[in-house]
Amino acid sequence: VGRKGGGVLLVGGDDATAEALRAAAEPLEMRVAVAEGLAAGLRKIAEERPVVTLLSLDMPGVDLDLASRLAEEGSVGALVLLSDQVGPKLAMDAARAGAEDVIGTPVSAAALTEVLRAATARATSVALPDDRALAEDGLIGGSAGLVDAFKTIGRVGPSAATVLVTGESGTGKELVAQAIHRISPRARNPFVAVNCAAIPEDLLESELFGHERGAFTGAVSRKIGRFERAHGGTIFLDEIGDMSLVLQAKILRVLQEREIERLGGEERVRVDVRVVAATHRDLGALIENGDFREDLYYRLAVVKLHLPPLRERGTDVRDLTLYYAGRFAREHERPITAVSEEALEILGRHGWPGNVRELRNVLERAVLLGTGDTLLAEHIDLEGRAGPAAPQPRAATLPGYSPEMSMAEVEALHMEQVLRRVKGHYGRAAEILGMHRNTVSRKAMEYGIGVG
Amino acid sequence: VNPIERTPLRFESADATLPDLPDLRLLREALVDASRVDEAQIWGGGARLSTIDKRLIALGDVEQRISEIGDRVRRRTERVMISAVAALRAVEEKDEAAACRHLVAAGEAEEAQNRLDEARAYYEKALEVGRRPRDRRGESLALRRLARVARARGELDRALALYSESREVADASRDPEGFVIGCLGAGHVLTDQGRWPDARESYLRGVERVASEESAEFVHLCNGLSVVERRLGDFEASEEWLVRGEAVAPAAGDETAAAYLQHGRGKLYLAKGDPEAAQAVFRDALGRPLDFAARIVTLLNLAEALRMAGRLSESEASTRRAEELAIAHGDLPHLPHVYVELGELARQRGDRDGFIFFEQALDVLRERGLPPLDIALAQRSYARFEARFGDRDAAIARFRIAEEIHRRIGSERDAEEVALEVERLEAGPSDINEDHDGKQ
Repeated sequence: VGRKGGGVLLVGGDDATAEALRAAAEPLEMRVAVAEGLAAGLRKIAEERPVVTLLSLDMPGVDLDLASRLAEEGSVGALVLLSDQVGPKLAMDAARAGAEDVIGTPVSAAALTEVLRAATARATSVALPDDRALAEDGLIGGSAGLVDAFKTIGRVGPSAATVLVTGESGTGKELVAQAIHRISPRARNPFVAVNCAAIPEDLLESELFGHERGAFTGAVSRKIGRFERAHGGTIFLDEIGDMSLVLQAKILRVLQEREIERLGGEERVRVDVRVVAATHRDLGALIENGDFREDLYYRLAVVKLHLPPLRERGTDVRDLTLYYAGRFAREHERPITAVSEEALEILGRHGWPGNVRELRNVLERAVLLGTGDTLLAEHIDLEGRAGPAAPQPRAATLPGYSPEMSMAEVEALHMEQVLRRVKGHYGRAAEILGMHRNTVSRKAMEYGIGVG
Repeated sequence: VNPIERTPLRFESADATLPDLPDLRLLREALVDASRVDEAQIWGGGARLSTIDKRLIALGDVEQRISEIGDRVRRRTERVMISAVAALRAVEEKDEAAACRHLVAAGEAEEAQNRLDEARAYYEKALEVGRRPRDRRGESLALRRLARVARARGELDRALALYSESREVADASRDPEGFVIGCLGAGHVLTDQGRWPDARESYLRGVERVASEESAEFVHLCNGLSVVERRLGDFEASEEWLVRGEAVAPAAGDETAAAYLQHGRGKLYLAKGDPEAAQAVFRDALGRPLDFAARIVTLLNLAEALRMAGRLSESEASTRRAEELAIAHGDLPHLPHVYVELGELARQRGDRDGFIFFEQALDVLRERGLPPLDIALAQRSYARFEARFGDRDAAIARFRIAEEIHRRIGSERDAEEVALEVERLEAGPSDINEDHDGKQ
């Protein structure tokens, strides 16, 4: 075969079809072989092992039974049937016989190109894992960084140690916390998660510690807080770096005294809770700025566990893609059973600023958009992807900008934003800023910009 | 602090820092408009729970808009003063009917910026002046404006009395248009109170006296009657009124009225349990030119239809689009509806953290003095959310608050519905999944 796109074999069909096929195969870099009769065709199939076989149903001795046997036997690659009498019944019967497609003759080169492209994608696709594998949790992959994280989970899970999970947004910090809980002696008791960044400041305290009726406007009844709900189990404090200093002090007190007090209440309630905390922020820098208590940091970071960003996890993207494609296909009842190599390549090349959460969103959308049984490159929408709360499509204003700033300060601020956005990648920042990479690196040093 | 390390202010901090004064209302709208999603949180686990409170304020944007905001204040003040002086001039010329109209115009300028107390003061003066002349159309108009403010304030009994009086004055002064608008307004208030047969009666009186079927008033009356019949469960009659309204809406040339009819048709499909057909109607409406407020309402209706059809991701996307639009226009009154819808979605998804949306909705409603009916409806949704997660005490407490509000504003039927929900909650399982939200 020898060419990039593999080989395509035409069995039967007239000269015009052969000509159209050659024209269609050229841009796809596929080699074309033609067999005029059935016997020659079967011989060529055995010799060539084509990626796609086009079989004419109008040839003597060829019918849907034969097509079915060939498709089942598998050496034909993707089987596409040709006929000058294509109708709904034949289309249905052909699908039942295992053919990828059935097309009417005469056929144009453009139509054949599409058929070949789709058939090739399906023939070179990767099957999704079975249901049993899908039952596992979402911590998927075998990259070095993830394996290190697994080892730490295995080591600290059974203990009672407080764990601090760090990593960019969307890397799966809550999954780690759940895994730690699951292998701990507390597994039968509750796992309670709190996102400290999402809950409004004035509600977070009552959410964590509970309140008595009438403790404040809106406290319509007595409420049990999440620390109490997690009694005997694990509480996961996500985005701990976004918590106010006042609440940090209260969390520290809980960690020290293992007691909480409901808002508006007088009694102290004993709680037996393991704390797993997480943040995407650089707590060291926050401590330096006075935004995070150092004593709380040391209480939380008894064991530190870092989750690498997806772009550093190599082939994990592939494993995660197969996992999530399978999961969403099942959830949305879509007939997808495989992902094409081309789609996997595109996903593997992406930078994934939103990490696994972003990949998940892209795949859910792809599964919903997908029409056949294989997820193709055309179903992957990386341009139109949107996070759960995407920024508004409007002119952005530099956060922190003030008209009193000097040009140098504005430049530094803008560079910092750009570097944050590209996760410190100087090459990509240089493209956005319209500067040479070395200039970006020099100025970043000059302005003391760190990318946290 | 080095500007590079400065963390932009969150909306919740900005909001908590400023007093809640009418003078700062436009500034608050500008803060909403200048708020941005915290990009560092976009892919965080809590992003699905994001609300206006967690957005970051670009204070530079607000600073740049101060003179524009000042201009809006100045233009309003100027309009009010021009109208006030014109009223004085009319009094000098013994034209009290004109004086009344000018005072109403001053009130309208205040009302347009949601300064209801100030608007009410002008309308009361207009009424005082309008009672004197032979031409009592000004009096009828002032009464209707006072009724509108009372309705916006949730003073439904007062609003109803004012609309009734306006109708009588209009009738006595041979002002058929004023009479019909009075019927329409009274019908709306009775609808707010859940007094469906009385609302029907009021709308029908309007239909009997309307000068032309090809008028905006007639289309609004048809829509009101369709709502009433739908709420009474007579879908066929509801459909008939919609058809009558739709037949004359193009000739009436009132796009708002046409949009209401379309809204009513979608709601009718929802009531009939056909969310797919409702979606088609709302999507069609979105394809037409709509002002931002109508677009927000339509997006929320579409979200509800999608949620009912179990298409939760799409429902969330539609709600978030409504939120973006409300934020881009600094439109605080619609934000609570957005957050209640997101809360409903969280309930359906079994996402306990969805309480954040209800708290945010109530916060905006309370802080902005928005209609009590909206607070009652938000509390009812919140109560169902609490019940869904087994917190029966909190659910009952919230239902009781809603019931009390309904009784206070005179919507007895809604109050009874809530009392029934409490009864069921006390007797049955903790999860109430049926919807009885009393929305129009």
